[in-house]
Amino acid sequence: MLAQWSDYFATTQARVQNATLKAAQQYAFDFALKHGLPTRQQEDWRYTPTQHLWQAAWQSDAELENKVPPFEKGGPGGICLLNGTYQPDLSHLPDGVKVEIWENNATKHLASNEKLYVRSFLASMADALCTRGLLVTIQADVQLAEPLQLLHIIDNSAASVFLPVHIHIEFGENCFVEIYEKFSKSTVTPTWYHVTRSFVLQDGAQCVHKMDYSQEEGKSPLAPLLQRGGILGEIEVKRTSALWVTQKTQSRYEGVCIARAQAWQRDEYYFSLEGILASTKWRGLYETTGRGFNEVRHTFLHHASQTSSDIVYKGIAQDTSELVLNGHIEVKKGIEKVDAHLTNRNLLLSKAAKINTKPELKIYADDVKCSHGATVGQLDAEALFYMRSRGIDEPAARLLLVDAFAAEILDEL
Amino acid sequence: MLSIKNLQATVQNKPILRGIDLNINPGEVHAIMGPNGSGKSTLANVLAGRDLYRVTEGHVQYLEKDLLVLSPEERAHLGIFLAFQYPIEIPGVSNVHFLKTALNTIRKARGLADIDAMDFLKIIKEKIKQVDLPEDFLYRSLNEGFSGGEKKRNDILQMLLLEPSLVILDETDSGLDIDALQTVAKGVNALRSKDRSFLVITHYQRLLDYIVPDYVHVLSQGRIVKSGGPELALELEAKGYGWLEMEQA
Repeated sequence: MLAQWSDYFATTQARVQNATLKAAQQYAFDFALKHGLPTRQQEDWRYTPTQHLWQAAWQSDAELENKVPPFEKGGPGGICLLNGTYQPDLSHLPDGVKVEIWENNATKHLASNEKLYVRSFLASMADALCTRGLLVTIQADVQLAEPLQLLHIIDNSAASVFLPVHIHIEFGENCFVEIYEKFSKSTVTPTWYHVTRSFVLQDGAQCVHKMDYSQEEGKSPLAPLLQRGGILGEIEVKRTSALWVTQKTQSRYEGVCIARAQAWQRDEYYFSLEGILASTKWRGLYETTGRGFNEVRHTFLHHASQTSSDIVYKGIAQDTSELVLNGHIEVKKGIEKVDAHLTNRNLLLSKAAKINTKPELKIYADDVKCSHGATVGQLDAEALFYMRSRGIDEPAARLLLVDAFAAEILDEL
Repeated sequence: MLSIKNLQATVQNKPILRGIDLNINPGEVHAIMGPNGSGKSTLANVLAGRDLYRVTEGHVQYLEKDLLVLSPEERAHLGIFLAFQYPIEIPGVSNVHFLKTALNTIRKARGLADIDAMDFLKIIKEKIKQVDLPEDFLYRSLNEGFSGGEKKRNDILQMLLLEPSLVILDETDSGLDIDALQTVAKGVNALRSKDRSFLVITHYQRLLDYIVPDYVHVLSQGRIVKSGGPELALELEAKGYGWLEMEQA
């Protein structure tokens, strides 16, 4: 199994010139090898059907390197990646935002990687095989008036390609940035797209991070492209991601994530609150349909006093899909006045759909306020009857109730 | 208009209605009274099509159609409206959106085009005054955090908007103070017409001071045991339900 990845790794190393980057990749690869491929014996992978992930013969993405962008110059703007490769011609960077590729500056992103690898096998494997990482720097005190778009376009017609990408963002002291991250796919062959983001929020930095994995056609600026390439969901596209946010004193991170899975997804979110008064807010809406699978893992590590996390996420599973949710709050020893609250509510819309949810608290300190709770339910039969008795037919009434359930999170987007 | 013949129904295999016969003609107001557990609410819910109840015998014809084979929404499209004993709270669905969706669905079923958004607002703002609710209730989640009286007023608002042909009031008076009761009655009386009928289900005679019925029926143990004019309600108020059960025995 690992032989396949060794070949891939050799190809990757051959393409990289920068010695620091080569060494970093070797480190990541050794880490992954030592760890070995995750199995369902491991708690973090207990509910993850991995056979499709490891058994497929994923190939290197080298031949996608020179793919012609599907846009003319002056496309969607913000930071634009095509098959993981930064597209300077399609990107518009506001003042105070700088983008470099790792080949040119491979030092900074290494800072928090080991902590991430310990928790995320996917992140170590992806870093080992990633040739086109990005380093984004947001200067101190920058206040962006407009959201900064971060656009991932996947346009693959080569055979079974694994596309790993890593974006490291340094948020300077007291900056304020809203990042709107979107994914668009127009691929006709099996593709596994992995994105790792490592964010470092310096003292007083504020980041609002909106992630939209829903890939709604028509609403996307890429609609024509999507139509050309066929509709996502009929094709086997696997998407995995890891986000590691390091938060310094008085920094604030607010994340909103909307994900609709028809295929296979696993997303891992880690928040390391390391400075006093750092705070995190998370709102997530995860919906699976068809035979889709989505696993979302949230980890909040409180390393400093007076830090807080406010976490609400909701799940909706339809058809024969499966949703796996994990929420983990950890408060380290010797700190105080931590406020951490996690709420998860889920809606099961069919008998064959499955939801596994597990909230976890690990508290090693005394003076803290922490809570967690999870529920799984169905649409309220009374509410359905009430609506139908007013003439609204059953499918429309169900839709209204599902929308109502989702509204709390969607309104944040 | 509505013709009920030998209607029998169960809840979780327990017989509740044991043979109801009732005819309602256009323009008539019928009141159904009876002690707790006599089957009043079951009758209302069976007519509206709630699937919790199972009809085991009998027929119900409404506007020449077999009502019992229709879904709740099809019944609503035909003009049946149930005012709930306990209107449901639905967080996240705005009242105004719900009202507009309901109106347009019913209009569509009647072969009419969707109502223009501005016209709709004009109409609904006019109607909400009739039930003495502040306008901001339109923009709140459906019934969420409304008091008991406000929920009933909101139900009556739906009735005024949808203009049904048969209105079933299921103990709408329960838990209402006198002001709310008068508002509800005012709404109902405003809709009374020669081709619209009402089935008023109530435990107490009080509501019938404001909505004066043409006929009063007494339901006991799943059957109509006595029918009469409005004076029957007064008699029940004075003597209670005990004498009827004695008479039956």
